[in-house]
Amino acid sequence: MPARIGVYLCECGSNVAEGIDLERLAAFAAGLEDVVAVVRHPLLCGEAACAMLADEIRARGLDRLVVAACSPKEHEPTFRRVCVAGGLNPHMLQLANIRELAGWVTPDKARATAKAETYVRAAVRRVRRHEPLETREIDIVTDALVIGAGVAGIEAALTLAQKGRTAFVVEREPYVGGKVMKCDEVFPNLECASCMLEPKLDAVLHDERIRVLTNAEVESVRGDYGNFLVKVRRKARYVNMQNCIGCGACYPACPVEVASEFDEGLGRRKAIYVPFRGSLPNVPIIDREHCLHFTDAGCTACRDGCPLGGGAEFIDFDEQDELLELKVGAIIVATGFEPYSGAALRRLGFGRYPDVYTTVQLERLLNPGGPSGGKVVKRDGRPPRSVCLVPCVGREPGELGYCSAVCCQNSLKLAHLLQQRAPELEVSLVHADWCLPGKRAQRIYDAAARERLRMIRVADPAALQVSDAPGTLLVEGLDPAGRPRQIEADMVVLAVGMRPSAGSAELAARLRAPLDEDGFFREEHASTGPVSSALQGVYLAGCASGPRDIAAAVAGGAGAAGKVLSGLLPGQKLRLESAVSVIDPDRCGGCRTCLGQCPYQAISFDAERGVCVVSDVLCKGCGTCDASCPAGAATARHFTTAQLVAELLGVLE
Amino acid sequence: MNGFEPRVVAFLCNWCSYSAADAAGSARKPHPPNVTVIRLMCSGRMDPQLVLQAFAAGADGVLVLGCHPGDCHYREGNYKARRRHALLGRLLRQLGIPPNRLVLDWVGATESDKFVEVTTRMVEDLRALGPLRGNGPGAQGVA
Repeated sequence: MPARIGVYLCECGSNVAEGIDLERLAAFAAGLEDVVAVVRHPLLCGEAACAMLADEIRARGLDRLVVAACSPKEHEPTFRRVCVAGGLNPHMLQLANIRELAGWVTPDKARATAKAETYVRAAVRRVRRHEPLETREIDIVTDALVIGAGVAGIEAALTLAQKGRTAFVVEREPYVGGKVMKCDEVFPNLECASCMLEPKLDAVLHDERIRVLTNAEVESVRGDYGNFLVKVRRKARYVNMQNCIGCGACYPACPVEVASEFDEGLGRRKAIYVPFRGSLPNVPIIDREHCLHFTDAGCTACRDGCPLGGGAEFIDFDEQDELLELKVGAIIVATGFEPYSGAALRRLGFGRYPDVYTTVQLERLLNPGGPSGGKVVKRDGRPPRSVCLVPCVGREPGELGYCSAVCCQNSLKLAHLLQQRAPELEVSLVHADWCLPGKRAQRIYDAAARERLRMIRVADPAALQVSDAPGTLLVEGLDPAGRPRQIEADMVVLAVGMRPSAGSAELAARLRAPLDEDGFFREEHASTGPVSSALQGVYLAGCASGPRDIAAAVAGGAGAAGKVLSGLLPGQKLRLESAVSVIDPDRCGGCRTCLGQCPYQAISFDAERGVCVVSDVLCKGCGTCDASCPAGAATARHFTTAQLVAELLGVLE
Repeated sequence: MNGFEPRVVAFLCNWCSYSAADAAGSARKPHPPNVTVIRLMCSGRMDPQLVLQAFAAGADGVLVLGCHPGDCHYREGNYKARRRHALLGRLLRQLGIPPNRLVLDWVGATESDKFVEVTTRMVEDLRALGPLRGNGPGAQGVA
């Protein structure tokens, strides 16, 4: 049965009518194949005109519509609604842009009219090839997975729970709170970090809609937006989380002592331990690698020291890893950062001179819960006479290659805290170019500038060197005028930048979410999509996508949760884009060329059938698979090769 | 070649270059009527067979315009287009079609002037190059 196409020409007030001979265009359109009606109208996008158009579709029995008017970017949605109102599938429409692409840009009316004829012919040819596309809807899960229980992940979980959603929080470490917990006081307000976070930690651990899984990692992710199936490995803790009361009597009983990771190697811990006093959940963990029960078979000192008897219901050496399968609709990646640990540290004497520290180590020294009880002391246990803070460690090209944006403020804060703790201490702050963004950072600087603080400007922080002299360390560099500067200090602290969290690449591969060139999770758009990843249903919060301060990380957590709350609504189905790609399994040769082409990881290879399959949930309809498929098996719906060739031949006829 | 008016098909991505063409229209900045636009969602959709078919059907030149590198709405479709363009240029040479009859360029959504400039230059270049007589019976092959 031949198509029944209606061509509607819009005068657009005088906008189109002035530049194009619409009478001629109407006569031309009437002669095109399958065109059964040509109507000229003063302004088709008006409400009354749209109603008229819908009536026309019904009255004339049209099965396809061409509207020759303005740009599809202007009114394609309008005329798609008209199609629906007239009982047509919204994709049975083609717009011929005779205003922006012909009338307005071709001063000669005859040539403009000829151009408009070309566009109308091409649109008619194309619309003949149009196919109705279903608007599809799928059932969804509205709960979410949050990966990482730092400030960003916690904020995300609390925001989700507040709206009644279940949030699963998977944390690799045995405690919640993340890196912030290492600090004593944090900028901008010099607040005690753990006091500031405690209400939120408490809420996240006690909210019945939030399930926190510490000492756990994401093992695999299947499925798509709305319906992810996530396997989580919860590693054996060997201490029962329900029954242990966290009294701490087992730590002194344990005969093993190793360097504490949480204290950045400055303190010691036992093989059964909590990372720090007050860490939550307040249940110790056994370090299997060092515990004598596992390494030397048989030690039960912790059990013996347990005031509750230490039976298997408290300490269970036979505990196995637990594999959990979670069904979630969305995933928030809040995996944080690691302090920079590359080659610049060695240039600056870290690891060679015992009294060269990182800023993270200084945080531990300043923390009353830290290895020195909050006293700033050197490795020999004596307080330093002078401290020199070294900026921008790792910022240079070839190392991190970016500014971490928090170290300047943090160094000012540390300088302030050092002087507060030890007024006699001589503090030198080396700096190159200050990074002090936002409304509060300048004030921190101004306050620091009033203090008895030596600020020494150098030209290039990447050229700084640290060496030793009798009784002191020497920080050497050139000032902006090229003069050598030398700073004596018996304690040197390196302000290390932030690098992507360890394991980001593995997690990204499991999620199929891309990383950026620095190894952070890539945002959907750096400016307009900062909390979305390129993968639908996977959102980013905190330092997972780049260095951030606490406030920005928390804001990102709330933002990512907001995306989940607005995207996945209980009781509603998820509406899927209908103009997506499809791969014909009968034509697909399984070459997998398209897999590398798809920017959204929407195509997977079905090994059983030997063909590639498009996830219509993930596909965004760019069509690059269609363009690359050597077998012609991939089809970008609504931009099919047949449709585009029809349009092309219409243009060139 | 006096009076020769080349026919150019321009494949424009929906997000950047088509917006630039629209913006040129809104600003009433004329571009040569020889250039006819076909909208794709992404320059990555630029299928080599569409380009070949355009030449076969009588186009003297084909323009493919996408978002600037790094700005692709689909993240990296324009990089795919760039690779395909490079390969296609070699194929065209083998077919006797000078590769400069297929031009790939980047036009951002706000660059209406660049759209006009690129289309105008293309038409001028093709005028100088002459027709691609690959079409119809008795065709002599390449000009």
